[in-house]
Amino acid sequence: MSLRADNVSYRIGSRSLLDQVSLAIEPGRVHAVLGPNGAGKSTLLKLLSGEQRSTSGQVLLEDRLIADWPALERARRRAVLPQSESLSFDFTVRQVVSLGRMPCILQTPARENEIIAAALEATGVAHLDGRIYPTLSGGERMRVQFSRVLAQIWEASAHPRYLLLDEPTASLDLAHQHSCLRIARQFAGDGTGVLLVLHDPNLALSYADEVTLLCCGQIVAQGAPEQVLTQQNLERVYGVKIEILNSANTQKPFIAVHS
Amino acid sequence: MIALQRLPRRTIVVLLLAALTATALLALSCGSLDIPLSRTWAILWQALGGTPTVTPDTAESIAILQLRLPRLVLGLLIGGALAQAGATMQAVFRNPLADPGLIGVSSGAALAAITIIVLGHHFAWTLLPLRWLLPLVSFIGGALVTAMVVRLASVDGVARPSTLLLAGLAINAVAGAGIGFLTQIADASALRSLSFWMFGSLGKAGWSEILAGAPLLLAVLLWLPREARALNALLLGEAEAQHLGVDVEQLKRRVLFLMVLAVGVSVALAGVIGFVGLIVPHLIRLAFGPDHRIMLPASAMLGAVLLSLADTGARTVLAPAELPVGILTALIGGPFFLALLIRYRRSSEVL
Repeated sequence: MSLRADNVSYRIGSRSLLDQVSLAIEPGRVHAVLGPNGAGKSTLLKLLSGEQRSTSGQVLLEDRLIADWPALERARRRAVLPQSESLSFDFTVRQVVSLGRMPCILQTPARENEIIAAALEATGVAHLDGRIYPTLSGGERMRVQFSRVLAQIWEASAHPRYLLLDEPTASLDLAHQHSCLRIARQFAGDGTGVLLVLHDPNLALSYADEVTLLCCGQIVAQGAPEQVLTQQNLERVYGVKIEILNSANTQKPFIAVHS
Repeated sequence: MIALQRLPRRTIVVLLLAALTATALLALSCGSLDIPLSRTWAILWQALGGTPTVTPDTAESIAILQLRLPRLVLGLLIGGALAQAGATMQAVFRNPLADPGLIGVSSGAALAAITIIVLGHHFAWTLLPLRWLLPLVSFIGGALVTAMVVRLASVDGVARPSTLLLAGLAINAVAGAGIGFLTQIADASALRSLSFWMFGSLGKAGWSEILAGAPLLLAVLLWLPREARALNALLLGEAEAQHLGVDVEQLKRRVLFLMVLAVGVSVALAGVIGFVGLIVPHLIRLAFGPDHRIMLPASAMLGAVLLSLADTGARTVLAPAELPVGILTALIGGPFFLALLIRYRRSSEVL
């Protein structure tokens, strides 16, 4: 059981955005993808979500080609948080979140309200519930979208669920970055397979079980966070001077960038 | 306006139905010949096979049953269908300024229809009666424009608002030139029909044309609301809708087909009546929010009400002469569009 990419490549014309990348998202685990801008992180996420088709290699959801899944069945198994949103119509926050319930087998209205309320609560936007979405700040919108995505796979079911988050922390403040990733962690605790596209290696060290480091469409390293996010790998990929500090308090390494 | 959004759905429907009934009675009794409501009612009652207490006057009876009733039916259907067509286009392009008229779908349909009227008598009508041929040809004209605009404006699956509106500008100009050319070579009888296409009027179609087009318009009116949930998801974005389990390509093809059908049949029956598809969905969104499950049926009803009211106005202001209703809708719609431009001018997503 997994959502995985087998040797996928993605080309536009002669330009190769992804080259022979393999990666597996397993139920109950958090997999982070890191890499510099243009490394192919979002492209990989789009292939895994079925939004785009790979030019070679295959993406398999539960051993069945992602493209072969009926759209609705696929939507019940995996939810996707895109990097950017553009909604210029005046939906209320609650309406946006309830759109997440669209593919689900609908429960009683009371239960549906409970799920939406819980999803709003989870990302800390319950107090915005009646606000008009386009009037929110960037960070608030992001959390509302996150809430919508959570509502989509809120309820445990017979089949595993997957959560694909493309830079979920990008527009969030420090506290919300951590609360967002804590939620992802909680979902993994309940058996959801999570893919995170991240920029901050320290967040990956704290929240991921596995890390894939991409550069120029290719995998540089893949495995446990401490083994992938080494000084050598990071310096090579990002071209900056890195120091890995070991904090006595947390027993976790901390990655510092020297300017 | 927020208060209206809290109204229960049933209340909204009752309110709009009441407005619809009032409009219908008004449209039937007002005109160059004013008929009191009691006699209007008696005439309708008699037509339905009842025996009214007052015996209706024959002239009044003809005015209502042969002149006003077909116009009313046509106004309600076309108003509703155009409003829904506008709402649909706005959802597909995720832009509240998209409108079949502005984007050139209506003028594409009109150009096709006029071509048949002017050049058609060189071919045999006998293949297909004109009341079927015109809607068909208008549909094809509208469909060609839609396909072209969709391709032209979409860059990586996102329709650029400015490209969309500029493409519409160009298409409207070309269609306008085509129509101008055809009027130059048209004979006198064709010319009379043409002047009606230029401005749009509900007064030219008789029962036989209406009965040919009505089932199509009704089908659109009933079908589009079934796509409401998917259209809601589409407002989030095409990728997002796909992630929510919507087959976006198929959805777009289906609803654009219905949109073109509504516009094509409307143009064939009544010419180009602009701005209904822009104003009505906007008012409904202001009052009840953008949820298509309410928006589409409510737009249909408000569109029906507004067009019938506008037509009643067009028949009465210059009575016994008559103003083409398209002039009236453009008079209201043009400034309305400018007001929308002012509202959205800072929004990079809309303009």
